[in-house]
Amino acid sequence: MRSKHPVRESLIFLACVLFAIFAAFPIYWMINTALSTDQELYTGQSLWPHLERVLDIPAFLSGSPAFAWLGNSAFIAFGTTFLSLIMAVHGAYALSRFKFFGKGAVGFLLFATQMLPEAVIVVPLFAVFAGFGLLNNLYGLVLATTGFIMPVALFILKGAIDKVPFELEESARVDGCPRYSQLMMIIFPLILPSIAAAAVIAFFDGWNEFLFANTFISDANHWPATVGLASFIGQYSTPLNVVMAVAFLFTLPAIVFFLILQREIVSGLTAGAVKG
Amino acid sequence: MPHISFNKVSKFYGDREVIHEFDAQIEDREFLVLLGPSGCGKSTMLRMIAGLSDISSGQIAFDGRVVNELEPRERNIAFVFQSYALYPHMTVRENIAFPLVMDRFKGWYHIPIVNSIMRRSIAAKPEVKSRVVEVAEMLELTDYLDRRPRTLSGGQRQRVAVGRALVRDPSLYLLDEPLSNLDAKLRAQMREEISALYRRVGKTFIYVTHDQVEAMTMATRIIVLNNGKIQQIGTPEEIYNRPVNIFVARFIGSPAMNLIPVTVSSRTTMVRDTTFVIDVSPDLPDGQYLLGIRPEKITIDGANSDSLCARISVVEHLGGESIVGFRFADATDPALSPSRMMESTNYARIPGTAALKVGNIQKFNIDTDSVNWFAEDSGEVLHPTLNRRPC
Amino acid sequence: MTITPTLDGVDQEISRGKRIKGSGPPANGPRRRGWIAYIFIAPAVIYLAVFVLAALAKGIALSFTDTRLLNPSGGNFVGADNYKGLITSSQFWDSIAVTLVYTVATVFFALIIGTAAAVLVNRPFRGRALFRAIMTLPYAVPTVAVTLIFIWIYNKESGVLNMGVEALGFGQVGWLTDPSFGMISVVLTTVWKVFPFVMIVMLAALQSVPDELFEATRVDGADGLSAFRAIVLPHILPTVRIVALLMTIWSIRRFEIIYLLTGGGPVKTTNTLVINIYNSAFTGQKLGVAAAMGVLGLFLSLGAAVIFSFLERRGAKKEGVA
Repeated sequence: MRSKHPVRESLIFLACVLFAIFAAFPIYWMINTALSTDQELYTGQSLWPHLERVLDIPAFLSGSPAFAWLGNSAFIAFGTTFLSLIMAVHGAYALSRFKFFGKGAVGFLLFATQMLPEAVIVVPLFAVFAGFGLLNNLYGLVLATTGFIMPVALFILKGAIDKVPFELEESARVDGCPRYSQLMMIIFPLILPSIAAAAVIAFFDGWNEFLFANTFISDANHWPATVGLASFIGQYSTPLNVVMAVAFLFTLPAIVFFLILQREIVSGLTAGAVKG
Repeated sequence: MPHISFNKVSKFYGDREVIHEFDAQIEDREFLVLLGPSGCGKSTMLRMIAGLSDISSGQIAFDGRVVNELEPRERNIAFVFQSYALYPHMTVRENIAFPLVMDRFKGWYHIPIVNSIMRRSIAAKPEVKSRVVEVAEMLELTDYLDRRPRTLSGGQRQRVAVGRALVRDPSLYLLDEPLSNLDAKLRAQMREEISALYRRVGKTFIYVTHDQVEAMTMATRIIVLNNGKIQQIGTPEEIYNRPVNIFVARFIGSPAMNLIPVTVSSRTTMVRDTTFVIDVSPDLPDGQYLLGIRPEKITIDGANSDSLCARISVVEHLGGESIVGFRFADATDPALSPSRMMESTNYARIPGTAALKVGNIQKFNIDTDSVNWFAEDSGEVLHPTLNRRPC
Repeated sequence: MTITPTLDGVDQEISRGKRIKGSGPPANGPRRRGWIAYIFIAPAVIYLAVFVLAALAKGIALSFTDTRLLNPSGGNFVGADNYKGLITSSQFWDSIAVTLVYTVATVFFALIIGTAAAVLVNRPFRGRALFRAIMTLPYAVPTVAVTLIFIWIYNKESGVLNMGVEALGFGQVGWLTDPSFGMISVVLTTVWKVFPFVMIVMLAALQSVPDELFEATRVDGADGLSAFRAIVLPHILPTVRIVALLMTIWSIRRFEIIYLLTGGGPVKTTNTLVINIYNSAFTGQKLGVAAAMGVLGLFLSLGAAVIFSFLERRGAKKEGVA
């Protein structure tokens, strides 16, 4: 595909560079801000980061609740991932491999959940959770978040199971493998990439969860990092470079995860999008 | 061990009947081939024997015991799938060991995570290990035991599938078009290997195929199926020489059996639309019939003065033999309409590469002892008494 | 155009393939123990029934009461008063209008930018993998972190955006405080966050365009843009429709970015329906009114889905005829 238009080629390359700057600049700016001093931020922030200040970050994070928040976020994220995947694997198997009365209704229920704004559910859920003592409780957050991401995971896994040849299960059946183990010993290992994708997408959702946490959790000890970070907005007692350092600390696992599992995530996203 | 009997076995998908009242008996140690065109229901039949598909009505019994409700595992069978259905995430060793591992699985081993630990620990047991090695040696797979199916050739995958069937020493082998994914040369080789395996294990084989060569070369008996109905049950020779209807006649053999439209009147047989008389005199009522004759039972340019004349339309030299296409009607009517060209072409198989030219008019000689008679309307075979035509 | 027949053929192949793939288990699959399916699907269904359907039912019930935040289990039945109040409230209709503007703007710009990015990095060139990775990064950044960064970037006195604006010789802009810029800032942030999703999905769609189609354009000598319109666009149009549907639903649902950037301000210029619901419930403390708004909002979501499925059916019909 060697083009005969060097001018056009370099214009296209330039466009690529501009898109990349657009995508990367805010992330760069977060890091740059975290590495600036307080005075600099109000007298004129340097465009180039002071990399040597990386060493100072642990010092000014000590004593902040940042690590406790991240721990809470991790709990919610892992809890949501675990709960979503368990239900999604089994549900996806049922939808992919069986015909049963009410299958259409189940599909609609799953799809409808996708269209439901969390903000619509948060009001009645608040009333329900208040009754069950699930407010101010990380388990309650896992339960609420799972409801919204589990259908997504289910659709991704259904797409993956649809691609597993049916004969493999029949072969296992002839070999004496009962149905549940056909799922666990034959299908499950074969859809591991999609499981990884669904897991990362569910993990992101739990890690990012803000609305329910902001509403249900009033005790600052139980805040996930999202609510903790949001609490910095509009208050000036925490220096901005500390805020950005915490934000970066919060962003880093997500980006690392994303880069490692990019291929799986992309396949999951596209499968999800095509399935609708 | 098993004598398998089928009692009016039918299969419905919704309102559509795919198997109609299948009645048959299979003796122990038979190599039975279910033969038919695609979509005739032969695979469905095999799946019902295996227990992978429900039986809509009727019964299948092994040694008199109805097995309709038994799980595949409880029927002591092995099934070789058309796609082989090897487990892609397991090595050849693990694939072959899988049935043995499942035999030794206790209920609680199926708990997730526990299952993979137990699968490994059972596969490591000496009796399992040695059996897997034994099977692998028999199939010349020893060097590939630690490879995954993805890295194997088609023929090797085929052998792994057979190995997985073999490992538990079942009393009934079910094979669903196991050679259809291989190229022609490999297919011939695997055909021999499966025949050798059959002789070696001495068990019953039921083999589904649409390939008549596989059926003719491997079977001890063949069941020909079409549209879910049994057409004929018999040895390869019976099926080939004495087809019971024109479907079987046309389906078996390549080129297929010639079906020459004839008119019989006063025991005189005449090729329809011509004035040629064939030297055979059946005691059939006057009317229209189809005279079936295998291509190799036709000879060309014999000295017999009663020979028929036909114009040669195709000559294919296959080396040791030649296939010659000819049309009776052409001999008198060269301006045949194209639409009739195909249906009225007959084929002869003659040894050597005779110097025959397309367009020549030749004399053809029919071996009248090998003629099959079919009713034109029903297509069923007729058994007339044959007399020499009175001169 | 000479290539049209080929294209139709490919399209039909694809739609036919899809239909076959979507037809579920093979016809000869085991259906005897279909009831087992209920055991497998039960956890998911029961879960959704409890946490989504029950909550939804509770929401509908709440919408007919005057329940207040401080006493969520109390409240009296007030009939359709909440709905009547909303329908006559200009603030409610304003928030619907804001939702529509926000949705249309984010979907439009995210689709354009995401598709353009996908087209750019679909071409082979050195360093393509690196560019792809960089352009997908915003997808991975947690939303709350995104808003924190953008609040700082948008800062009126010291934000980098105004530093740039001033360098160009303009005055400081109150990106988040000036009513004429609030929506622009919110849309820009949203587009930044979601365009990688569009790019990822469109990239997958572009890679499924057979190379022969690109070849065909070169033989015909069509130039870049018109070739894209004539050949590539029809091929990826089904994907565009699905992505547009998803983006629309997400835009209607979106909460964090707006809530944290502006909280619905300045002067309610970014007060979308979900922000309005949330503020009515937890600032205004009127759970009943908020629930009624949620029920109406649900119809908005459903309406969008219905419109899209209608467009999709019409589009599919048109492609089938062509």
